[in-house]
Amino acid sequence: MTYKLGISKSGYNVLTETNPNNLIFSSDYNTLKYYTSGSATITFTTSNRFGDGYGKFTSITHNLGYYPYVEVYVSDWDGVFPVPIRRTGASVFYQHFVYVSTTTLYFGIKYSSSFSGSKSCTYYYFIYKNNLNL
Amino acid sequence: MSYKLAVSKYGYSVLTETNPNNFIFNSDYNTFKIIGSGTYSNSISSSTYFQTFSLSHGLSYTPLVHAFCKENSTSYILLPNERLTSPMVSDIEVIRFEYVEANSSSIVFCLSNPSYSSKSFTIRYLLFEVPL
Repeated sequence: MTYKLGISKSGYNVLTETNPNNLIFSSDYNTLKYYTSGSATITFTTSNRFGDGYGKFTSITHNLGYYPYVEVYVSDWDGVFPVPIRRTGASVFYQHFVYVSTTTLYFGIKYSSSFSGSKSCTYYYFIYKNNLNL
Repeated sequence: MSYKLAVSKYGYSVLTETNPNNFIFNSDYNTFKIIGSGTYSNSISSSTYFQTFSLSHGLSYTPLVHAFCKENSTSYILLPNERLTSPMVSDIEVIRFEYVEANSSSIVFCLSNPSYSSKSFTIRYLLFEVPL
């Protein structure tokens, strides 16, 4: 015999409801499970060459031994955005990027326009236990 | 009488805590359910831009979709709207995972291959509920 745990939304019968959108929780469906999260700030100047532009990246070691589900968001001088993102303007182009390996999460910025002084952005990362099996 | 099921994080009382961030689970709040997942493998010819690849999702509605792409000879995973360069800090692009989208019948992956050789890739896609 197979058992399951389910919690329906108000107005729906947990014993008969089959639409997952009408269930608060159902053990029939997987969910994202946190492994770790945190933030990191990157500050760069034109002395930080990066390809044909400028920038930096940083890395977070997770050592899960597989490719995990990850999310990264960035707060920069223009707002808060999901990463990766490429932004362009009349005279500016830059991209926030993210890669993940079986041991490490990498994220950073490549800024392909001239600027003066320094720029900073803060990345918020979320690494889940969910294995992408890739 | 209404009942609820809750599990608080360590250090918080499940009986008195009200901040949802301090719960492992709380039946007052919906969970974001993964309703399907799978992989899709194919290849893309050299110097090819914005090629789309589709597969049927088999649902009666348009799901939320997310995906991760691995060019099979590399050891990095890309999210949509990402370009993999080799080495990482160079301008030599290996592959681009342009976007993923879903419609009422299919999941659509869009990739570009700016390199001079064909690239094979595998994508892990996840379908989420549409809690509207």
